[in-house]
Amino acid sequence: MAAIRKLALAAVLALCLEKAASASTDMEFVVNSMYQSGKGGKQVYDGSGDQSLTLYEPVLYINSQIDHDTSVFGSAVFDVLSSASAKAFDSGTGASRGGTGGGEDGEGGGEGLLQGWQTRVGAEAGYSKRKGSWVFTPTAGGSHELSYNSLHGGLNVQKFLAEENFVLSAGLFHYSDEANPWDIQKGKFAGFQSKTTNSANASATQILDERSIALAGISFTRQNGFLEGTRNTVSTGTVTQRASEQLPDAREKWTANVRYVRSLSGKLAFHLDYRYYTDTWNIRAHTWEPSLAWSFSDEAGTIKLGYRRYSQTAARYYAGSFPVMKTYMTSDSDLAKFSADEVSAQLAYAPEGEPGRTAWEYGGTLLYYKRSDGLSVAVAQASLTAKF
Amino acid sequence: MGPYVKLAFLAALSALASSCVRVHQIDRETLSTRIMQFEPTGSRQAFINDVHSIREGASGGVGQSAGGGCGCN
Repeated sequence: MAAIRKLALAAVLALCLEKAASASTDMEFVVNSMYQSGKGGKQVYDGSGDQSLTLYEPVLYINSQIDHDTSVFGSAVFDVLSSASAKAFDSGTGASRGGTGGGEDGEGGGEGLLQGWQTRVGAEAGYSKRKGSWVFTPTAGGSHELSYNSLHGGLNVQKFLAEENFVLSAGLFHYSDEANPWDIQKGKFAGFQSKTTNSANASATQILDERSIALAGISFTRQNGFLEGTRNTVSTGTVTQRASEQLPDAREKWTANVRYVRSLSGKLAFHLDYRYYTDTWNIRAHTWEPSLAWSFSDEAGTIKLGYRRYSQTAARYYAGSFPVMKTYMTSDSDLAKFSADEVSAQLAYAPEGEPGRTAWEYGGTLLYYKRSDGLSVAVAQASLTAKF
Repeated sequence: MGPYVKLAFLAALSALASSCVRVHQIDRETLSTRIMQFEPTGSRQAFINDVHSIREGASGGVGQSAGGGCGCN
């Protein structure tokens, strides 16, 4: 709740400053929804493999341009989610009944309309200030849910060079999180344990010519503390005998990515993104993402059609089951070897408004994601933005 | 990092570093259009990045959350 209060304060501050300086403000309301299904989750508490997950997430974004060089922004999010694991607490059987209600709700459930569902609240706020050719953007935020809390902050710095043809960007971010794992032997939460994440990234963006632009970036992330899933388990040979996931308390990650955008005509642009990932748990991943963006109705509308191909190797600690117990062991399907294909369509439409009156923008997204292990995800998004 | 990836990344960096073309502000009409932005649909991309980060082992890094809750199994 403290994070919510901070966001409210930031929003009030933004509005006050706006009145003083005749600023412009964007308020965007986005409703995200996600539907996941898959029976191959060998980490699932009850051994059913059911990875069903339904999530609804309304988010409010505010961005207020105080003056030519200054802006404040923030967001508030409220998740309502139901997953197989969410219901693992309600009966002691580990049944994966999702959010369909019924049964006696335990700590993972709620009452009334939210029976059988978990909730999560979060907020972010930031401030961006340009001084000459430099832009400084500090951010802070937090989130709270049943078995996970997060407080985080960071600073991003940009430097514009060569008449803004070349932009260097660097950021440092710190996450001070805590996770409350479910103790499968004792049948209760084990108590919050700390997890810290420190991340650094740098990128360079270059205008290549009047019709193309490219970006290259790298990042390094180090995590320490409780890195297991809060409810992940492994099979010890039989369906009824399961043990908690065990993973090292340190992990280092490196990424390198390139992005390229080329105008094919005044109304059509080609995008190509590539990302390479590697870490100390022996996961290596490649992501390719070509897409086309089309402008229509005199640039009032934009449609982006994308394809994404992802592949990763398994973590060195992954196995489908552990007849012999090991120091580190996970059956988390997210850490297995798999590939994934995704198609998406995104729309934004902002009809020209009358001068001096609120302008509106409408947006929507449809996305389908399919992994080679059978897990699939469908995402739908709707957004409404007011500009005043 | 494999040798081919290193080569590709170094080639990309070299291409950026060696670009001597200067496009003046007045010539950036095409570049300033929405379809030329890396994220033309803005904040909606944040949720999609989260979906990827909770479903894949390769979370973290540029444009992706490096921590936080996930609501996953």
